[in-house]
Amino acid sequence: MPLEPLGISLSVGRVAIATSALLHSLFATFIVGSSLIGAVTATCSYVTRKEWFDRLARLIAFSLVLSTATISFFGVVLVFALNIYWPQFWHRIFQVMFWPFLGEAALFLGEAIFAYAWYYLWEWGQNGWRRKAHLAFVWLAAGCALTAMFMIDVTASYMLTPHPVYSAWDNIFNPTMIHLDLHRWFGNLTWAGFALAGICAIGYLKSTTETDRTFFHKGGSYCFLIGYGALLVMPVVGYQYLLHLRYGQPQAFYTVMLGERSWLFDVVALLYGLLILVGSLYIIQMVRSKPNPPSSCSGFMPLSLIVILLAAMMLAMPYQLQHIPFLNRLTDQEINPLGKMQPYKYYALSGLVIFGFGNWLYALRAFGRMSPVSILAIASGTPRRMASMLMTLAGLTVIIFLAMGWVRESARAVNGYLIYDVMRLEDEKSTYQRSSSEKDSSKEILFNPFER
Amino acid sequence: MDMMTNSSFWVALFSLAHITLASLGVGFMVLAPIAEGLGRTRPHFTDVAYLITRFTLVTYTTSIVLAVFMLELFIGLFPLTNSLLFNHFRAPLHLALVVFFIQLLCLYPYYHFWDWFRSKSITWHIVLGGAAAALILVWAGILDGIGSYMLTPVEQETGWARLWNPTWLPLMVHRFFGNLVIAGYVMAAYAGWRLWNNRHLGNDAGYYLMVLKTGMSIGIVSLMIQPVSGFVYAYQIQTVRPDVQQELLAGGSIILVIGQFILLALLLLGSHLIFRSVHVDRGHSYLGEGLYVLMLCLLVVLAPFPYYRRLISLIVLVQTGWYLSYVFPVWIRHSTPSLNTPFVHGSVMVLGAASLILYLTMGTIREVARGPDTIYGIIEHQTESPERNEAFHAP
Repeated sequence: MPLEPLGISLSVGRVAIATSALLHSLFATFIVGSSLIGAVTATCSYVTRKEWFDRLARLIAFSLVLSTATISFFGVVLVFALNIYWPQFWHRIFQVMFWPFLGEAALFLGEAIFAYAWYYLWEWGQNGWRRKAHLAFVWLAAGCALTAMFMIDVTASYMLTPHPVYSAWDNIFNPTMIHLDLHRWFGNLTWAGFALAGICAIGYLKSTTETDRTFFHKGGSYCFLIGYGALLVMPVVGYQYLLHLRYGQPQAFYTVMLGERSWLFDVVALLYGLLILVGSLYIIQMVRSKPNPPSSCSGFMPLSLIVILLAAMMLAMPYQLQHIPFLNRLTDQEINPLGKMQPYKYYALSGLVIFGFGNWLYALRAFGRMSPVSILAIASGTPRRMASMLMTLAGLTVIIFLAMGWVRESARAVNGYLIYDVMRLEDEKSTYQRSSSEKDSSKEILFNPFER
Repeated sequence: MDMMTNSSFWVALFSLAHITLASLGVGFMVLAPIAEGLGRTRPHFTDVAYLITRFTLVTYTTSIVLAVFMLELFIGLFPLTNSLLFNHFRAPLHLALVVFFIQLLCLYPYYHFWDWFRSKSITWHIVLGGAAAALILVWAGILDGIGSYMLTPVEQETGWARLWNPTWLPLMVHRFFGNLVIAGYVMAAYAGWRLWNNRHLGNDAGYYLMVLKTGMSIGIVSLMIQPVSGFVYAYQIQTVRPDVQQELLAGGSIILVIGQFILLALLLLGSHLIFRSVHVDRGHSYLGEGLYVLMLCLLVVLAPFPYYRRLISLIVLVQTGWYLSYVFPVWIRHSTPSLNTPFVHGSVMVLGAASLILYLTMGTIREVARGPDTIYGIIEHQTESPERNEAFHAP
């Protein structure tokens, strides 16, 4: 079938796809995480009948509705961009993953319907049996969102580790599928937890009444606890993911860990360390601002902060200096022995997770003792600092999220693949320019979506 | 059903589901700022504007996701057609996305910050709603361009030039008023439903009667424009593709054409009965009404004969206009408690459903008219055959 060549650089298409895909996934992951946090919060509200849980659940519902609307738009943008810029790739992947794609769309439809019902029927669902029905809406929304994510993870993991290449069920349960999905579970909870905490922080800074300040302070701490807790699990799941990538697609693993794009992994490591560090600083403020903090905290907190600081620095150390852009202008050294994964980065990760977990337990205890009186008694200035930290965490999470997405896509793209061992970037070139042999004969390019 | 008919069925199903919500949304988006403007002097209209915007917002994402679902089916089951359309219309589609994004930025604050904006400036709030309406019309216009190209393609170099195919403008106008027809009748149907359950309403009955009257007015006025805009559209198709009409009237799709006129007649007759329930000194004449019913019957019977049908349509149009010229002054200026009867409530609900089915039937006819091609004269249905397409065989 004749198509017109786009007549632009392939890079333009890559930028367009990357931008739309990252924007889309930023909101999609927020929806998955926030619907789950919303469901838990709504359940707490249902069980305890505490007013602040109900208010927080409604805030989450509002965020969910707005982000659902946004993502549906970005979904349209992504589909349009793929159709225009990468039609050959898009039809190839669509033929292989036809049912997962349809399943994802159907489940997103379910998520949208239930999330909207949850938010817009808030007053309706306040009494009697309707309370249960109203609670069911958010759990159904969360269930749909999580299953939709599973469907997309099938496709995303297949693109990196399609083993074997053309076998239906093996395509679905490819070597990295489950690990990617699990990684995203916790990643989404981290992102949504910190993002909601950031929203609460903004609410705090803008609030004019003590009631509002108390609510946003407590809401911010609650969402922070979820985000920080999930963040601590990430290295464990991430390790498993990388392990299966190593066996499933060694070339991609090498590219990310030791090769051309290893510096990107160092950026992710730096951001992870920063997240744990800023989170720990927040916890110190949180614990110290409460009356009668536990006596062990005065010893543990400073020690924990020192260990986390050192571990964060060690984790961010690059091993392959030669691959860091522009660094060769400053040094001829190619290797930094301190940046080795084994044993240094493992030590660093262990330190971050173990001491981070200790801090999290202190934070949990402090949150349990939080009351309106204790919040209002906090010295002026501290809550504002805490709000700033929450916003910093939200900002850092956006960056680490985008960086991690970039790492995964780089693992394929740097080696020239759109789908590993199935389709190369080269295969899409004809969409952009006619080959020299075709130039004189026709102004069009030939495209056959059925061709394999 | 063969595999390709099966494919068309599923794409059509989700397409119609999307169009139902999207067209209502477009209609309501256009009406909301107008209603809010009227609300400056008649506060009830501000409530109407809020009500219809709320409906748009609640169904908005569902409508978009249904569109994505339809698009994904289209990509998987009709990859050739899909590729060609996106490739040939890439420039207009870029504009469409930008416009859609700005529209989203206007629509959401318009509803979610309704009171805040209005406390600052009602005029600017109306401008915001108006901007959302104008932008969604640009988006719909570009999609209409692609839709009309599929029926009447032109050989041009650019996507913009391809939008200017012979049936683009007539289709846009026809759909614009079609959107208003269903928006009006569905608004009236909603009011009818609320009045039907009026034991809970108390003082709100007056408000819902006003919504019913407003919806009916918008519906019938837009409906009277439709035969004219529809004639222009059909005439353009006939000029460019003379065989389309013959095939429509000769094949099994004749049922759709007759069905369309049955629904049109039902809408006109139902509207007439509701307007008739308003007391006016002049306008009622059993002879005249008998003639009107006769003409509506002829409209249906003569549906397969375009020349005679158009003649009858003209007579029906004149009759409806003549009758409304008596009824409308009373309808608009006076309170009309006679509308608060179960018969009227039930009737407007039926008319709301009929208007939606009519809209979808007309859309289906347009799609069927292309058969056996997906893009007239360019891609045949069977070239997307399942033997070649792995999507049919995927798990």
